[in-house]
Amino acid sequence: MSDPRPAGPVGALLTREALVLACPSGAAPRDARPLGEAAGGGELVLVREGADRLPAEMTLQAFVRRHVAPLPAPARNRVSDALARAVDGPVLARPARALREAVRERLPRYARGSGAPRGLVADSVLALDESSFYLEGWALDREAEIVRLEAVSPEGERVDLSSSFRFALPHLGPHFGIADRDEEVRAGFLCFVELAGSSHQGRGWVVEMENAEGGCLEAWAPEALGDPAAARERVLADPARERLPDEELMDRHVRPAMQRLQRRAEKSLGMRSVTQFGEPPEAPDVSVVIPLYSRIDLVEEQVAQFVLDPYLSRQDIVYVLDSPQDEDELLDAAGRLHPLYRVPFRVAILRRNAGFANANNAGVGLARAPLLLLMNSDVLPDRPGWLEQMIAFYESQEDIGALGPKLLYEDDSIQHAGIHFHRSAGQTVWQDAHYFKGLHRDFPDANVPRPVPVVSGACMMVSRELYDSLGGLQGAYVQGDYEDADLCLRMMEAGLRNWYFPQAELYHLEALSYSSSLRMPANRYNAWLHTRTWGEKIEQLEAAAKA
Amino acid sequence: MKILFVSHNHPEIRPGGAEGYALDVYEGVRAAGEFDPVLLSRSGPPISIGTRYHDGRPITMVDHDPNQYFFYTDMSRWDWVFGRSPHKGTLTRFFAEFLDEQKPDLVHFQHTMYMGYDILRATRNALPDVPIVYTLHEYLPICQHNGQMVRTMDGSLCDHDSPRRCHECFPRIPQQTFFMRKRFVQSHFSLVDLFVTPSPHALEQYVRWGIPRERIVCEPHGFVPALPVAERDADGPRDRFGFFGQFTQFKGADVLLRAWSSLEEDFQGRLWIHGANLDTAPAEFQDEFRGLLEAAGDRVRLVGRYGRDDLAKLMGRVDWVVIPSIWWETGPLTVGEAFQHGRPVICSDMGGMSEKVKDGVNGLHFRRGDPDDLADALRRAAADPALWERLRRGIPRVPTMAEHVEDLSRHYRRLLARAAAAAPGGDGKPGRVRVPDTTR
Repeated sequence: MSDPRPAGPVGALLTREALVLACPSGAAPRDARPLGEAAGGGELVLVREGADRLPAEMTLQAFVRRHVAPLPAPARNRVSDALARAVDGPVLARPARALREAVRERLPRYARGSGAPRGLVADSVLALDESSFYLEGWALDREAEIVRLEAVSPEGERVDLSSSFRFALPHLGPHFGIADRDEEVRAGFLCFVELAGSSHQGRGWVVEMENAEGGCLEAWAPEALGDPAAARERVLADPARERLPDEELMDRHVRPAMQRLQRRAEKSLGMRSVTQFGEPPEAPDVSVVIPLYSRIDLVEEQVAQFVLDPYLSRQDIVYVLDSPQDEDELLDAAGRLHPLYRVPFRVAILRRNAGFANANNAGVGLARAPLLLLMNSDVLPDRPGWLEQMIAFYESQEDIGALGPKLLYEDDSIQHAGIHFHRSAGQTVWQDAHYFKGLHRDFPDANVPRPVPVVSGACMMVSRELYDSLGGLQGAYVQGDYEDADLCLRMMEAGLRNWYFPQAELYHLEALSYSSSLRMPANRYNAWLHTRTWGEKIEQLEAAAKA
Repeated sequence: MKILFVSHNHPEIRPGGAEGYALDVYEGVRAAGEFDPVLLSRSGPPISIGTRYHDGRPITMVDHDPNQYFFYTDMSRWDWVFGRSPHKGTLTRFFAEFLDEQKPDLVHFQHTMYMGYDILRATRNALPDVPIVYTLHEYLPICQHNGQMVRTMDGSLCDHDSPRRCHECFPRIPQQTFFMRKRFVQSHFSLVDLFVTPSPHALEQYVRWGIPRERIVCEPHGFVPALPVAERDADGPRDRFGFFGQFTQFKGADVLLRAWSSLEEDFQGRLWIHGANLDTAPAEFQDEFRGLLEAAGDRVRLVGRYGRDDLAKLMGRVDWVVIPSIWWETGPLTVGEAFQHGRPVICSDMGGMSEKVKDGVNGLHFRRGDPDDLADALRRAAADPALWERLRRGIPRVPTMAEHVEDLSRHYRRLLARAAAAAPGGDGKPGRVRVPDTTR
């Protein structure tokens, strides 16, 4: 047996540009990144720059066997963790994963239904971006307190899950001999985690737990879910675990996760194509921006109404497709519809699904007119003339922010006549509330133009300059609501007033324009976020309205 | 002046009331000599088998008439809710080319099924100043239930639409869709200069639905002259009955068979069932109909499909014509045909039937959909030969097709004069608002 202690630096190549080195303490090259102690003394380092000029006479396998494997388990884990923290791309991720596999101590696994004293399950890992993740599962120990709950990335980085949000899973009680149904078993955990390095391998996430008496378990998670839409849906489902929005849950887990997803969406923003159908109108007064999400059929329903209005037909109409998978269908449809209806419009295809706010903002970026009309694809005008009237009113008011028309349901009852806020007894968040909703369209009090806190983004007029100066709609909200309230409140903060204008009447076939599976959970999150941002302002507004 | 008639089908391909009428009007207008008519009838699946006749263009002639054409449309993706085809190019290119070549002075649509309500806009685009006339044969623009305005859940009559009511009849179609459907149809209907309907009741229904009263008229159908009936000698009871019509759940042949089955064993009357298109009825109805027919015994004869030339002979065998429809009917042609041949009518007591048949004057009414009440009417009719004689004498003269063509021609003349006045060089009144053509 030779002495494992390195006489000089001994290295093994991880990749062509990275090398691990075992060397006597203090003998590491400059810029080397420490990975921890080497077995038998000396230190382990990672060298990125100039790796090709250093000796690399061993295979990684032999290197690990000699310099890492003999270490005790916690020290091995530290080496693996330190290497994983240096991971910044898929190339280095592979050897880091190999190292983790070689050195991580295997713990027992929980076997279901065995009357075991403890259990651990990792239900899911959501990959929000390359370095942030969202983990869910449960951990329960009826013998001793859990003192360590950790996730290990496929590359070996360890993240503490002790700051997880814990929630009750009462159905687990009986499996662990907890007979009393009233005893709260907060076994569930969910946790937003951020890695120092990055993780690129969906498979291989492990959760480990240890109790005060040294009892251990590990659990392997299913492959990380990387699809942003699916991840968003899963994260948004979590607030429903609590009756009232839990600040800890929302602030430490849900919101940062949503922000990461949002940031990722914004990074990939961009236009795949813009196609003009018909001659672009000369000097239009208004740019009508209509986001589309999957319901391509609604284009014909709208255009078949627009064609009845010669003024509207001469405006700058922009459809923005936020479900790019429908590109062919939309361009085909537009190519068929335009020769029949002859209303000129543009079709902009987003590179990726970007959400309601971003789709609107992208459409506004293409606008050619000084005034904007944001319109949903399930809005149909009642009769010609409304747009000229809205413009005249908008231009007649000083200090106007947004202008919203009367919106009707298909049964001629009021859907929108301005929006304010309502908080039910025992609730902590403000929900939007619609004046006169469900009453007949001719209800006298609903037929008076007046300033209101908020007008619906389903059909909203605003000047291009103002919209741009406020930065447009906020992408932080999940598509469908509160973006309009947020924009309107920003306008009020800027000293402007938002007006409801009942002389313009349109139908809003609410909720046809996007799928509804996300609606309830999205609303819960949006309402919470909106209250967190605007709670004080809303309280002032509602108090003033009551006074 | 050239008038283009557009129909959704041609009797050459498959018989039917509206398509037969369209051909009659075309022939009537040609016979009158004032206008030059052209008939364009839609063909293609599912009504006619086979594919388009020629490559490159979906237009072909109907045998040797230089003024009758088939217009092939592919209906594999026909939208049954909105009444339109996704193949807009068929309209915006081929139909528009046909209009451009034919240059009609007026276009009269008999139906737009299998072509699409949007064919109206394609017409207006191609012919900005040409009057458009549209005949409403049933309630398809209003009612998703085959245009019958009979509610799906209990078969009761419906007298108005709303997104909520239509959704109740078709729970799988959202009410917002019904709203959009109506908006879509009305968008295209706004291009029509004159609607024609054969029944005052239908006119009122359409006004209630949204057609401006000044743009709709009622013109009851006319009939081509009937052949003389070889009257049978009947000193005894007038107890022979006939049903003439399509075998669909709306025409009520099942109600008649049920009534017949409830008649006493010794009832001596006989019943002939004439009709077609059982194959296109819902399978459930087909089974029920066949079962009832079998149970009705040998005093009922199923005759099947008939043509106009057969009518005099078939009518001559019966004393009464029974029209048991459970839908409104908009001026059923069968009433006119029965009257033409001197046959009193026993019919449901509502809609287009009771408009034309007066109870106790030229026919008998029974409660819609009620076999017992119909059985009573059959007994009453068979028991009293004097009643038959009296009702037969009460039958009014049936308007001829020539008279009907003249009625239509009056509207054509008025519309053409108005179009001429609005055209450049006319009396200077503003013309129609034109949609700018940005496709060229």
